[in-house]
Amino acid sequence: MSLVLDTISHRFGAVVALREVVARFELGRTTVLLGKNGAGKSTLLRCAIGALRPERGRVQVDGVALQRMARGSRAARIAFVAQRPLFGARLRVREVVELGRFALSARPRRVEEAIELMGLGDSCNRIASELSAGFQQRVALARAFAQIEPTGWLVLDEPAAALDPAATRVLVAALRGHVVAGGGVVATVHDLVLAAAIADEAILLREGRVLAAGVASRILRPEQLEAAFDAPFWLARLGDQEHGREVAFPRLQPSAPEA
Amino acid sequence: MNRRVIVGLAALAAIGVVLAILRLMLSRPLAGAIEFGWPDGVILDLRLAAIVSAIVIGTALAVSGTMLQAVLRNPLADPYILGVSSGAGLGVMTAMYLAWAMPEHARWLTAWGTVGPAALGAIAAISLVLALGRRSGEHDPLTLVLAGAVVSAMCGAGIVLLQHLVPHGLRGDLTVWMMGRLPESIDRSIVGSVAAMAVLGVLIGARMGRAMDVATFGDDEAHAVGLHLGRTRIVLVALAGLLAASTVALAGPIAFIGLIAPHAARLLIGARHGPLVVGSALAGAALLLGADCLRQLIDLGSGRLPVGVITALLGGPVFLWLLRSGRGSA
Repeated sequence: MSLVLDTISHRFGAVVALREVVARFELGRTTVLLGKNGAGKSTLLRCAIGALRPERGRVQVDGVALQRMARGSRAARIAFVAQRPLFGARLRVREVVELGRFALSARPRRVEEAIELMGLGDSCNRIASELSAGFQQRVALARAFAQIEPTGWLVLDEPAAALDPAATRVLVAALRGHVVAGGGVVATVHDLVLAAAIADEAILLREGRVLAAGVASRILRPEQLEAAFDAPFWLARLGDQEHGREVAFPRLQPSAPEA
Repeated sequence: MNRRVIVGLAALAAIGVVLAILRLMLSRPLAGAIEFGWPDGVILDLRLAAIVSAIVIGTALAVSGTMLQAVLRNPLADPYILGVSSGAGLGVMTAMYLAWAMPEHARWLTAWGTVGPAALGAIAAISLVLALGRRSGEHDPLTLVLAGAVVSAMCGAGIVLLQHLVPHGLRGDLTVWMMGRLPESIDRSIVGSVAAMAVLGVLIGARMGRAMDVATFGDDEAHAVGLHLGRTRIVLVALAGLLAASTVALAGPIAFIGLIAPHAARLLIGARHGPLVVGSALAGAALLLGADCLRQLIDLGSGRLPVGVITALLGGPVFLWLLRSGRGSA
């Protein structure tokens, strides 16, 4: 069971966004995409959900071409959350989450579970477009959870960009729960702590090409990240000796602070 | 359907019925006092014609506005503001001019009365506005409104230009028509066409309510939820254009009903587009009936004002409030 991008290329006018990208997203795994701004991450996600048909190459779900899937089948297998979700009408939180079932049969219990999962129980009757950016992201995530089958892919563009640490913890637990239940997650991430917390696999993109791909612990290393971002990184250990792990951080200061 | 929706729809329907009865019984002879009584004979026919026209036109404009606001994710969208009504008006004027200038060749244009040319003009105008109103590939609410203002001004200029090219006799009361006027003598075929369009608009709109809800998400999110966004946009924009065009064919361009009615209905019954389309239709009918009642009360000593003047005077401040309050942003 996999979502496969088979040698896809795409350009916007003269700008080449993706060049012969090959990627395979398995169920039961979380894959993070990293790269500079403009590296092609969002274009890759748009191809993966079928919102953008690549000029060359194919996108397949379990061997079936994505563009040939019925809308309902596709919606049940792949849900998407944008970096800045848009709620143009003055719909209430519950109404937005219910629309995750637009192309699918109504499942009121799934809707309630998704609302609870994202901690929106007290905000159900608030107007979604009037909430803070963080709450709006949670509403969009709840809609995606209401939409998706347990064995579907959550495709997320910077899912924690507007979340506070408490809400990020809720998100990490929810994504882990989805993966443990047999689903898949594909997410663009800039926060390397979050990437280290959720990723099983990682893909580094640079100028529309896959620079490196594989097991996250091997890809999220300073030398790999430096090649992708043209910036220095270092390793730091988070947590104690027993439960901690090494995470690569960008070196933001001009020189390393003294130990 | 929840309790709020049922109560809201019932309230809007009741307001409409009260205003229709008021319009039926209210009169004010020129330079006379306001009278209130049951009419009969020709007067009854004239007032019923005005009431039916107001209901049909108000419904069509409100449904058109609701669809445009949803599909363009623009709370400021309205067929008048986006130039659709002016485009329809220019279509009617062009057909009238061609029918006069070359009667042998332009007969086909007026074969269906004014509805066909109005529809052509409306579709051309909305297409132009949508093409001009893009910024960075997206339809920006304010850019769309500006594009609508430009197209509207150009169509208005075209109407005046054509008006000056036809003889005085043919111009008739075009100036009043351009401000929007409810007909008091009904051309049954045109009213029937507009009524059929309005009913079709309400039915299709209510049926596509959830699609309109989803269309207010971002493009990629709407696609991922399972909406065929391109097809939905084409159907709804075309239907909104035809609805507005049919009202122009009947009564000329009437401003702001398509803007105010959806917002008024939204306050009462919420934002879900299925019920909202029905609520907007009721609110649009009630608003136009109310404006027509108000028109009867105003005596400037020079005849009744066109109803479009009343709706513009009422709607302009609402538009500015929406713009200033932040509700005008998507």
